Amino acid sequence: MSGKTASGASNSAGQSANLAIASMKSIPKENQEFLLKVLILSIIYVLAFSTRLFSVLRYESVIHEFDPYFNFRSTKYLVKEGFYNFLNWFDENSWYPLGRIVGGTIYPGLMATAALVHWVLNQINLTVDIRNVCVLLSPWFASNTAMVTYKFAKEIKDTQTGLVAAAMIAIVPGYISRSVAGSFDNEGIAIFALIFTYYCWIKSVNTGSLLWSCVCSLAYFYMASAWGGYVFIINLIPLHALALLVTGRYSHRLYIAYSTLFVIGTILSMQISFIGFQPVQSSEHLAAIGIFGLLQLFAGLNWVKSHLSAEGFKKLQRLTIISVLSVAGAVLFVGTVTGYISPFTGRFYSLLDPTYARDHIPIIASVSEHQPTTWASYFFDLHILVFLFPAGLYFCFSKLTDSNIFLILYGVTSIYFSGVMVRLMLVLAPVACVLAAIAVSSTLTTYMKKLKSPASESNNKESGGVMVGVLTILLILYAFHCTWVTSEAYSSPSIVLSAKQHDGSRVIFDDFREAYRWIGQNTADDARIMSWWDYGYQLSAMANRTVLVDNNTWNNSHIAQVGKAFASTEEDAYKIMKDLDVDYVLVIFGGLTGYSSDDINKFLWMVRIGGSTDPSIMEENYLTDRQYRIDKGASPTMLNSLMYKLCYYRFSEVHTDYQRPAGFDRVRNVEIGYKGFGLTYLEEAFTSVHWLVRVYKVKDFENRA
Amino acid sequence: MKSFIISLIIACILVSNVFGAVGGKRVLIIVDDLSMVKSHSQFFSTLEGKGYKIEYHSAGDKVELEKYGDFFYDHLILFAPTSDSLSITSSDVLKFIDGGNNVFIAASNGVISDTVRDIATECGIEIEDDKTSVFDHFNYDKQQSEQNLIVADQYIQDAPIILQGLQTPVLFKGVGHSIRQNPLNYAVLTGSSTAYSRKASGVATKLMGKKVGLVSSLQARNNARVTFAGSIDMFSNKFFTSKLGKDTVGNREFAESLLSWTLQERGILRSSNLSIKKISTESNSTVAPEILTIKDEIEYSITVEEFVKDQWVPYVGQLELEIIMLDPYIRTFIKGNKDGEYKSIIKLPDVYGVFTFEATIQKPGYGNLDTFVRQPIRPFRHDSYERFIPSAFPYYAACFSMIVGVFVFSIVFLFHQEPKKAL
Repeated sequence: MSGKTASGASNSAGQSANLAIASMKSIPKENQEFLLKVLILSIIYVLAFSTRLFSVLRYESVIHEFDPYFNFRSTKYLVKEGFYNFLNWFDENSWYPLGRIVGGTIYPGLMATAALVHWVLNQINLTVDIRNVCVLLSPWFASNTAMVTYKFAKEIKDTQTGLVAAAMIAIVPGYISRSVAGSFDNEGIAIFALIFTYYCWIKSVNTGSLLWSCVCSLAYFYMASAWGGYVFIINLIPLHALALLVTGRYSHRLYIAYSTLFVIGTILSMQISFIGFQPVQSSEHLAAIGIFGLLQLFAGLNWVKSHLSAEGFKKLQRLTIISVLSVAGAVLFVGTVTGYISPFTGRFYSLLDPTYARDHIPIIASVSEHQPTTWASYFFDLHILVFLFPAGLYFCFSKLTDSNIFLILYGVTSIYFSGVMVRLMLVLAPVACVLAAIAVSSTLTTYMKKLKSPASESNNKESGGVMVGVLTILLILYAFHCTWVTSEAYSSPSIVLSAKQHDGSRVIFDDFREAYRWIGQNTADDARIMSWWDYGYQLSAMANRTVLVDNNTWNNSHIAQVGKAFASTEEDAYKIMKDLDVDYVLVIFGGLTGYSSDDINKFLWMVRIGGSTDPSIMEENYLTDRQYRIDKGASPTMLNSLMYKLCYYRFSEVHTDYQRPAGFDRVRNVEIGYKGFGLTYLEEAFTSVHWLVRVYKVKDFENRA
Repeated sequence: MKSFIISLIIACILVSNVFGAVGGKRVLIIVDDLSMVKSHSQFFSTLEGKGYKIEYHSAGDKVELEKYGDFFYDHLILFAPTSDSLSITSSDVLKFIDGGNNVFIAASNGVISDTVRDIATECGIEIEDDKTSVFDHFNYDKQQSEQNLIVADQYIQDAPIILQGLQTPVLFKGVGHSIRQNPLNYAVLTGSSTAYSRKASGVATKLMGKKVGLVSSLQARNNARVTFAGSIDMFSNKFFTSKLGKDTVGNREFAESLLSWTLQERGILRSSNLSIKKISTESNSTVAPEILTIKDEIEYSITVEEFVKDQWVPYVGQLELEIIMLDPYIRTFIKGNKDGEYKSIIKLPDVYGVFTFEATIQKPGYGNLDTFVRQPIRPFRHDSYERFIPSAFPYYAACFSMIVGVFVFSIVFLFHQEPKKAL
């Protein structure tokens, strides 16, 4: 009995073991897939983070660029003073004497995120310095972006596409350029918010769920709090809605998704004090309002249509369209004339017409990242994505869905915008990855099938093999290119410079920090330092001194005043500097080391910007035969300008090269034109080791004159 | 004990600095030759009576004004117009002036040394060529035949503090000069409209009329005073006792006033107790109430004192207050009360920024008073504004009616049953 039972038990055990083996054989496919998916995604997560660490490993864990120093400084303020004081922060150390209301002139999303991460880590007793949080925030968000991109691509096509897209975006140079460790900039988190918003949007259009559209509005709010690029979302989504409407793909899902997003998203975005009433006043948001109205009208008409005869409906339709158009036109006209609707801003014009800014607004044109993109930089930043992009578009067109249409619109608009401004390459990079992923995964799916096809069709098998092989090589090349670009181009900080010597060893120029430290230690606490605006954020963050202008270029005329001072003669500049209570002047000079983005090379922009408010400063006075020269042939105005004197003061005593005369500028490769001059109203206070940073003290009024 | 000694030393240094700052008592007098000490004894004796410590040196002596940044003297009287063999150079003297010390220089119508010329030029005074003198064929001492012994009475008008209301004419015999147009320079005594400058035999130079400076001063930005007189004779015993007809000449009073002013015995101002107090504000915020915000009402007060006869007494006059951010937003004059307090209630502008509150007294003859303080004026905080404003009531009404409407609608929607249609 007992034996029977035992055998029965053993039998049943054997059966269950058999069953388990059977289930291992039947379930494993899903399990394996899931496991593989998780493994791939976690590798991508780690990869996206670690590939961005070159700069930290090679140099140190500091903020590297010019702009992020302000973000860093304000994050520290936020952590120290709390959120309300941060919102009300009136920074009297910048834009002397105007001051700057920081809370109302920034997108606080980045600082709030960093402060939140810092707070959470400290709550769980991981005491991390806020600096390290700031340094590593962008790479971490890049990892998250890869995950969101996976969901986004999966929602549009399938899991395989999602995985390929995630892998591609993890290392795409166009995105890495803005998210390496130490670049603590808005764009770092904004791309995450952007893709997340789009994912939610696609999800809500596909499902028609109110929940997803609410999540979408929250994501939109996060994006609006983080970056001015939120305008791109609020124009692209209406465009998508319009495209769906026009192609006859209108559905209740679209209606719910759009109406919810527009209403909640707009109200939420208006809570950011920098945005304020822009969503209802500025012309950049007009499209969203228009499409919202159109959708309501369309839905209303649809409803009325079901209750009316065809004849009556046509009449009503005509009447409605005419009245709506005329009312909208009247509102637009009156709004623009009375100034209630703000006119299109310069940055917006330059999006539509690339030459606009160059001709009209020197302060926008002077920024290198606002320049039109060259073809080379497309390949540099996207590599094989450039070729896979159209292929992806083709696959999208071949099977149109609501989400495919969105992807097409996103791809086409962003490739246009990226052509206008270099920095918008950032917006193109994610969609290029998704489209390329569609191309890659569609191709692979097709040809892998052929590879597996029966041996009789050897032709198919060969073509499959070639195709898969080529794609593999391309992807490997892509990975190598991305790593190389990241290592060579995007991980060299601008706060510490390095150069390779003849024997291959690196030499580090740490002049910036040396000079900022000197200023911080040797000048009065309330000393006011005049420099070109590029260095304003660094000066206020690292030297902790008051600056006149900084990278937040909100006041043109104040910058023009500084530009005018640099462009004037020493005597005229002295008057301007005394009016502005300037104590020290800082210039960046690369003539000794060969650092080419120094103030002499930026000088023409100072002249142009200075001349934009004071017509007496004319660019041609600083040129000889339309050439910018600093040698003997330079114009006298140039040689007597304050900038020239401050940069080349005592430079003629230095031999920079063997076989060259003294005072040989290694950036411009000429011998300077005016040597051995003295300074009357300023005196040299500090020059860094490699002469990169030179600081001058503005003398007091003379005692007896 | 050690710390006590150290603090005592520091206190001594501080005290000596306080007293040294204005009108110290160490005077160095350099003369062409020591016989001048006798011929100008009456002039020098005015100093001795006031407790000055005087050192006489002839131009040839070796004297040092300064060593390692410390000055040995507070005042320099340079009565050596011709001797160039001074052991102190013009740059020494200029450094002396820039260090806040006073200099009194006299020249004559003889040869004038380069040192004196350099000092004068650096102080904005352009002396005429050697051996020229000022002539006036209408206003000269009629008892003498020399028409370059002129009678001068064109005193500086708008700076009574310098000469303390002296009106009597003085005798002058010496070289003329011109001064540059500059708020720091004063023409204390000029020739009348008939005066001009020329060599004993020769044509007139371009300097004539009231442009002919006889005695001029410079008050530097650091309040150091430099006086230049074209005539060394006008301070001599002989001129002090001269008579014009029956009247005595004013040389003695003139010299005394001028010297005491030059040695900073009066007309020096200082300020203290600067305070900016908030009186009322339009801000509702309770966070950091002491910080100035736009449209605040503030009380600005400052005390100004004047140095008179070795002590500080309240200065009663008028003070100009400017509140500047790039441009002056407020410019006002404040009258002082008898304690030298200047108070004014000011409403701050509706502009934020870092403002400079600059109080100045610019009265000829007085030292510069330029006291400024920089204060940020902030915009309102987010909670500074009135929470409920009447003009927003339509919005509140819309909000609450919407809430009520939705509530009612949901009840109706949930519990309403359409009557079943009769089949």
